[in-house]
Amino acid sequence: MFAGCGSHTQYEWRGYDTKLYDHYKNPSEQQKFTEEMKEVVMRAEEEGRVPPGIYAEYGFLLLEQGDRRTAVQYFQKEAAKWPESRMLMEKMIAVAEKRFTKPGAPDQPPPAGSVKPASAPSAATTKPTGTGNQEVAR
Amino acid sequence: MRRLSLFLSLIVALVLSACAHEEPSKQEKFLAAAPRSILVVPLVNKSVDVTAADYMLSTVSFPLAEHGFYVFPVNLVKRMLEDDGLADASLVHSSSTTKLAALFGADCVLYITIERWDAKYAVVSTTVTVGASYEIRDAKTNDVIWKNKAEVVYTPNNNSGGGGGIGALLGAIVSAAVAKAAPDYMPLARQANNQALLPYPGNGIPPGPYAPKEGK
Repeated sequence: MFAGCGSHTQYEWRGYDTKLYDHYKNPSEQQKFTEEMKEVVMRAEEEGRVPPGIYAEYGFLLLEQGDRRTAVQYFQKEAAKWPESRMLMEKMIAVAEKRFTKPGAPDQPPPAGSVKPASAPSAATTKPTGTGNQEVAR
Repeated sequence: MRRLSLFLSLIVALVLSACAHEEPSKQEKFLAAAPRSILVVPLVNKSVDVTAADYMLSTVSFPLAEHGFYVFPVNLVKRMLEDDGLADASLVHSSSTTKLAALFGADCVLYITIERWDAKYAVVSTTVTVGASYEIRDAKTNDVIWKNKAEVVYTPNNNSGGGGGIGALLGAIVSAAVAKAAPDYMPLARQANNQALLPYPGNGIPPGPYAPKEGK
């Protein structure tokens, strides 16, 4: 129906669905997908119509590729734009900053395992400063 | 004759008003829960087509977000669940909605099950029939607050190769061959998701908090 025609949509998707499907079809081309998602994010940002979840999706790809620092920035952008995402983004930021010092086994049985930051240090300790995204700090 | 048509239109009016009356109650639970955010978990795929779930998952964020909801990033969610030992979609679907939603801070969870994804290959065209069921459960109560089904029959590019006669037939054969080689079922997946989620008033979900105010 209205999928595909950019004009009448609330957000700028830039073929996110096709790109994601292609990624599932060719999972080895992770780098390519990350590049494509960067393009999606940039173009949507230019138009001021970034869809929900897109900053986080891109941030997650960066995280998987080991670029924790930039990943955190995009998790912060998601949290700043969408209050509904805040809890998850705080976790993701904690995960991103912990990947360095890989925590041991999950402290709880699934499904409460590694999605959560493994233990006590709260999002407050992981909140980076000076990345230009003060809104996250609410 | 006149009287009959008057009678008929009365019945039609009655039926219509009955439907219109039924509308709010059908979505009552959803409206009461008033979720702002939706977590879409990996799909249960009962069809034999292994790619069906990828098609449907890739295309589901668009209608939900355009409909006014915060949609959690589906790929991130999928990967995080896999990391948590929840790669099996049917396991995810049978676990507690409250616990699942709490992991992500979601207001509700959308569960999609692909019932069928059948391709029928014929000489002139390939037809695919998709059936899927959709269910949203509330994070607070675990209750089903909305459900619907989609049934879509799709024939990719079947009318290309114009000109009629043998040209049309050849075009159709080529398009069937192309469909076999590299089928593009994105339009089909979009159609199924849109059909289940969007019609409102109707069986779709009521618009979310970010829906354009005009109700376009």
